[in-house]
Amino acid sequence: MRANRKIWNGSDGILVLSLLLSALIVWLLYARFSKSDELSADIRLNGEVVMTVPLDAGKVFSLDRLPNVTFEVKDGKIAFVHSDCPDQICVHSGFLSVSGQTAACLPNRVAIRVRGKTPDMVDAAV
Amino acid sequence: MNIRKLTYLAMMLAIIMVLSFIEHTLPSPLPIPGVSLGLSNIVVMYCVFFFKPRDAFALTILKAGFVALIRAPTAGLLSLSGGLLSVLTMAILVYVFRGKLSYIAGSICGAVAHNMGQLLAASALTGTAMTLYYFPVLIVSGIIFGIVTSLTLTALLPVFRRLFKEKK
Repeated sequence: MRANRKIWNGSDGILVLSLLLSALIVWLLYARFSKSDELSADIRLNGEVVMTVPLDAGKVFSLDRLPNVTFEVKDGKIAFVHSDCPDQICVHSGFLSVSGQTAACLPNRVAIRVRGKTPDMVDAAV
Repeated sequence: MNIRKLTYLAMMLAIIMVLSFIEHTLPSPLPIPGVSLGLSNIVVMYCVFFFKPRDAFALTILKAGFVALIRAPTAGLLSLSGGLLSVLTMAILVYVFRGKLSYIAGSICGAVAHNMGQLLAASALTGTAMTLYYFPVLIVSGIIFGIVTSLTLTALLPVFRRLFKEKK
């Protein structure tokens, strides 16, 4: 029984700071290596790419195999605009406009990932 | 396993089920698959700190089964992945640092591991790598949620003591 466990240790500040630092480093790497030229988005259903849409022309569409989910492309951005899933996490993700950005609808097993014309560093990493 | 302990674990599981049901009725705090406040982690964390890690693993697996039943199999899988990674992380920290590990440190690491595990499962299910892009958000939200849950746990400790430790 360790009743004397502390709520906060002096060294916990180091833990919090190093976690924040690692977050900052990943964020900076992302900002540095993300591309903005000729963006397109891969739409994956059950893990396989079923569609690649360029983000330059505006349109609203659904996949033939998934009529209950609607995507919208406009002004170099893509979003889930409608889905029949209960949690609506995909719709709340909003428009994606930076390479490497992702949004997913788990109940429907569908995900979007924005990428530049050439594969970026982030595609290689997990 | 004696009857007292079996009863304790059953009570913990009951509380976990209620908390996880309440949490699923609330809107998701961030639009990222699997990122959640982790209300039921309060009980799982209590179990890691005051019982054996294997009891916490059992609770996590049963909780994932419950989530799969009330939500969807995919949600259960996310819960299982996040829960196991979280308990594993906290159990290792408790084993290494023993009494020196603070509630907040254990809770923050557990929360980050939990959301990371859920996001890893979501990435695997959709075939889309999401962990790296959302990593900074996971860290920051993990720190905030971890502090909230550990403060809640320490505030509730007297209640838990009365429930689970009235006599030795």
